[in-house]
Amino acid sequence: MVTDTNPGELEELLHQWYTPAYRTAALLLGDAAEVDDAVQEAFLRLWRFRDALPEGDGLRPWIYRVVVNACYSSARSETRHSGRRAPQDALDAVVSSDPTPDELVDQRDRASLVRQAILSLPTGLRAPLVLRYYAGLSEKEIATAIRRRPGTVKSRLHEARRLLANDPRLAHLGLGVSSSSREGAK
Amino acid sequence: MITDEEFSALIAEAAETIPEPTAANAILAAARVEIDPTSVASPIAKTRRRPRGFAISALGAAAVLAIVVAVAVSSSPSPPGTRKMIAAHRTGGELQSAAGVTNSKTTTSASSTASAGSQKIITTGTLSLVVHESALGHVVAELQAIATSLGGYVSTSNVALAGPSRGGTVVLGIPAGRFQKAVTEAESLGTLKHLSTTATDVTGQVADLGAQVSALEAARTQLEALFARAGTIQALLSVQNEITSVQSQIQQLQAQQRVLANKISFSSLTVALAMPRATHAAAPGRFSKAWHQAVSHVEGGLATLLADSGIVLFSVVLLVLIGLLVLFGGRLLWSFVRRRLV
Repeated sequence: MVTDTNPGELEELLHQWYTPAYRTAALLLGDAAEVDDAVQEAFLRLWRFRDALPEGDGLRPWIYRVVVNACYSSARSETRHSGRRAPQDALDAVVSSDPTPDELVDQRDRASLVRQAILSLPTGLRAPLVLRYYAGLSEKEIATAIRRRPGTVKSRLHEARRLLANDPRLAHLGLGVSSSSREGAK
Repeated sequence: MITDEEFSALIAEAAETIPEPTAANAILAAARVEIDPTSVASPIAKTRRRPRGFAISALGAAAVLAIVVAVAVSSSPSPPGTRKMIAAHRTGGELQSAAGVTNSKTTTSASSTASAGSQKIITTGTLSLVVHESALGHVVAELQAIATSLGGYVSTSNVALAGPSRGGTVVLGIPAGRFQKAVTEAESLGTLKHLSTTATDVTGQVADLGAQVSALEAARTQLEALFARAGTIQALLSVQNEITSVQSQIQQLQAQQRVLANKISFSSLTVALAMPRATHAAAPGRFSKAWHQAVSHVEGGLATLLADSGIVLFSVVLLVLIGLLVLFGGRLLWSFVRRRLV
């Protein structure tokens, strides 16, 4: 039984995390109805177990863990997914570039291609990729979120990037694996 | 070759083109406006299977609870069933009657005793005193001392100690059990012109408030149980909204309980202070004063003259008056007779 109800607590949770969770789920699942369902399920779980949620830095991987699990359940897949807000500097870079109309069209096309390419990845590779490059989680945090060893996370990240680099839709972007990623994967 | 940072920016760009989700705001807005989930099209969960039935049943139960509470609240008697149990009212010369004072004290005493029992009584009194203008400040201080000594307080004080409208009103808050003593002590500070006391039985109102609070607390408990079992975010927020509403009602009723309890515990005694009528008359003007003095002196002179001259002057005046009467009477008679002869 709930004995302590704070009317603003749930609203705060929704406002702070709903959008990044939704976008993460969208990158993992693609289908809008499935995304809605998964995010709703994730937030319901978070709310029910809010007393058990860690505080501070530990909260973020937990939230993504719940979101990924909800996405897995929704997709009935054997692998896990999760997501979160992109690093602020990366978002700022996109927003502050003041693109021309042509560039905007290019951006939209490029974004659409990237999303399609991510969704074409094997399910088990999508979650580490999205968590690492959109949510900005460290490999250790991703390992916590998807309940895999850090080494597994590294190899999956490397594999995901390799597949994207070889995706013909993204060939013009030059997505070859950087030296740092190769080293991390080893 | 693309770096990790560039790759992150690429993914972020792809994520940013995903439309901003409106479900969270829509859910919150729906939860604020709607109580019945069946009347709200869920912005999410198009394919949800399990929680929908629960959402309907949970919010249906919440609506039933709200109706039960509303019925409980509306069925309570209309507010303050003010039954004036005792009202003693004396004015003017009646106050000079010792019997009248005694009766008033008896009734007031009875009301104070009643408030100590199971009945909840709000006692108020109004006392009009005439005090000498030189004692006005002293009386105000004494009233304050009476309130303090009996464990009460001065609620409001509005007294002009100087000027043409000297006087005013002092309102005392007196512990209910000591109300009569306060009245007695206040009476002794001046000439009593008017006293009225009223006792209002609010036992029913207190009981109603208690019942409403209990009903709402029970409703809140039930809602909290539903809250813990909510199957959807929408249901969760709707129940939570209902809990907030019930909690607000409980707090309002509890505030009313506190106000009522304070009125029951502390009787209100309003003491009106006035000057004697003579002191209130307007001061005479200089001309008026001189005229009155002149008249007074003439009257005094005549009185002195009369007293000093004694019976002689009185006899002279009387003879003169008789002579004048005969003279005028004779002339009238002569003119009448001459008209007849001619």
